[in-house]
Amino acid sequence: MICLTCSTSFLESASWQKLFLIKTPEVICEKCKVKFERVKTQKDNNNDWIGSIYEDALDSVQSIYSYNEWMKQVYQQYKFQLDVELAKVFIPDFQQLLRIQELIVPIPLHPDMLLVRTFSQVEQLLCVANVPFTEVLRKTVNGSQIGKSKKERMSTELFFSVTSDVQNKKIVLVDDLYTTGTTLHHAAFVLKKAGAQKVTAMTLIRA
Amino acid sequence: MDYIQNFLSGRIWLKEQTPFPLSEINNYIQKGFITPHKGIQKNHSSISIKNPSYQCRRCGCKELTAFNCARCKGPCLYCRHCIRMGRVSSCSELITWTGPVIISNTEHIFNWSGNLTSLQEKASKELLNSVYLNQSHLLHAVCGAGKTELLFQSVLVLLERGQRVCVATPRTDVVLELAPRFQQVFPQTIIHALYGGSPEHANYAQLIIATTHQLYRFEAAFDVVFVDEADAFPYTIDKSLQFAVYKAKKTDAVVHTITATPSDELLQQAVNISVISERFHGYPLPVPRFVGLYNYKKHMHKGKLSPKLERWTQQCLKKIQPFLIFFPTIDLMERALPLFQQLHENIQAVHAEDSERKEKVLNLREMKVCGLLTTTILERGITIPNVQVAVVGADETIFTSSALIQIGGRVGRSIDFPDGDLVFFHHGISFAMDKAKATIIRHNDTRGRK
Repeated sequence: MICLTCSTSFLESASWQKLFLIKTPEVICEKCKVKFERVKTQKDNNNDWIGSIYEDALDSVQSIYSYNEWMKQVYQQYKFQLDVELAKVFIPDFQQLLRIQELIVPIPLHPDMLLVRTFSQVEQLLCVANVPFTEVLRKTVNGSQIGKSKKERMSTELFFSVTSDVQNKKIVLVDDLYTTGTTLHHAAFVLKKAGAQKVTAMTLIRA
Repeated sequence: MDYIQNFLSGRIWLKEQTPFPLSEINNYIQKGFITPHKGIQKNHSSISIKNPSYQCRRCGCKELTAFNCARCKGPCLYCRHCIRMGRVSSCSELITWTGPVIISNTEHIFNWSGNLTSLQEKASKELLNSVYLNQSHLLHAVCGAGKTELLFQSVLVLLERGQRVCVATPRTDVVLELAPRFQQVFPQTIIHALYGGSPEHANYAQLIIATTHQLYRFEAAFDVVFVDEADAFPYTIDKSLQFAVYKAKKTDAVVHTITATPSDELLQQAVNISVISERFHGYPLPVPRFVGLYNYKKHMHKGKLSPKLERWTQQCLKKIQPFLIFFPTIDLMERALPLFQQLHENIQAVHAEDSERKEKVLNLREMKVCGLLTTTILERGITIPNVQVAVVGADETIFTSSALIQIGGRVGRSIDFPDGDLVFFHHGISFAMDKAKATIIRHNDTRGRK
């Protein structure tokens, strides 16, 4: 195999699980793999939101990786250089969602942004892992969070609307990056308002 | 119009990434001054009509990646090979300049007063002759023969004809070294140095010094291309870099190559060949010594240096000579580093992705560090006076005969220290080691016979 991140060829270990296609084949080499750093203890994320209208919107957040230099580099190539193939690196991480009963809802891109990027970086992660998801949210404001301060981010207008019925549903939101949590709290807020019973979230990276 | 013409002439650029307003670009497309091309094209030489194969227009790569594209509303192909220059996909367009041709400057100041040795002089004339005949030329000159100087005369003739010239090389280090030298010799000529992360230039350069990678972004631009260090990694292995060079030149332009260690393929391709077997200072090339260093890997894994290697290092430290020790892998090198640092704390290691690579080499030159452990990354392009060189595991496959010759070429380059120690520590003598030694001896013999 040729490693997706460093382009060197590597030998893949053989296993019965891979032979019977239970486990997906490796796409990156061992050396690149160990450079990713898992989040060990999930940070308490609600503190910043206590006292605001979003306080109880999001029930919990689970993040998989920390945003170290290596992750920054890989994610940059995926999201901004549009290297769609890199989604495959994270297949095993998202396959854990196959076992859950809740409704899986990815955070959407604004339609204009989608045309620029040519793919939705969150949906792609789910697609390659064969995780079924439902499009419930629509992004109404085309703006990026990049370059804004924490205060600016946390006080922006709501930028999602709910497009289908979520009455009494249990929902898992999926996003790529958790920085201040504005995106997820906003999304959770509109979902709860539309009647969702429980809203938790999973993000690939915790900054 | 001038600035777009200046920038785009000879280049092939992603339409989405041009530094100019889209409206102006579109305006020129209507006039026919700019031609858009599909980023991914059907491969004309494809055998099967039913299943056509596709190719990246910019780098020629045929291994494309498919995905479900929101812009194409369906399947779309993109090229991962040259993605760092901005992604080329089925739904992206590349643009080239097809408007009026730039009239190049024919007056250039030539500011060079150095002397060529008689051998250099001869090779320089032979190269110039090939330039006149428009035949490809291979300049085969040993490490330290003074290859760059040989190009000046030919480049001058080409520039004065108003032609556009490119000096390409696989290594960024070489670009950084060559560009200031050329700028000094041609002080009035606009010269661009292009490499990954180099500053963007808006004007038109008649002489371009670039890494072969950067030539992906040129098409039918050059009247002549010189490829320096034509056998260096990854140029020989990566076919797309050779494609880049041939795409960047005009159809009837020729490619001249310059190297100390030509591959058989290069020797076959060349129409004319010049050989310089002597270094500019006239002293013979250092001949490698073979020293058995059996089970060196085991020793290092146990946290010990082989006594012979330790003695060699101690010798250098005692005589205060800078030294380079080459390792086959980064892994082994990093394992060995603390062992060497027990001998002297001022020994460092350097590899390709090391951000402080330039400084570390400079420190060695200024004797701020005693010695460097390195991988093949430092096999060419560096000159350190009085450097002593050892190769650990010279029998490993990564040390090809040309790599070993290049490594040996680091020794005795300066006229003040024309000799030095060159040791190949090995776990059994390889064919490449024998070939390297034989080639070096042959060069020295040719030189003696003259």
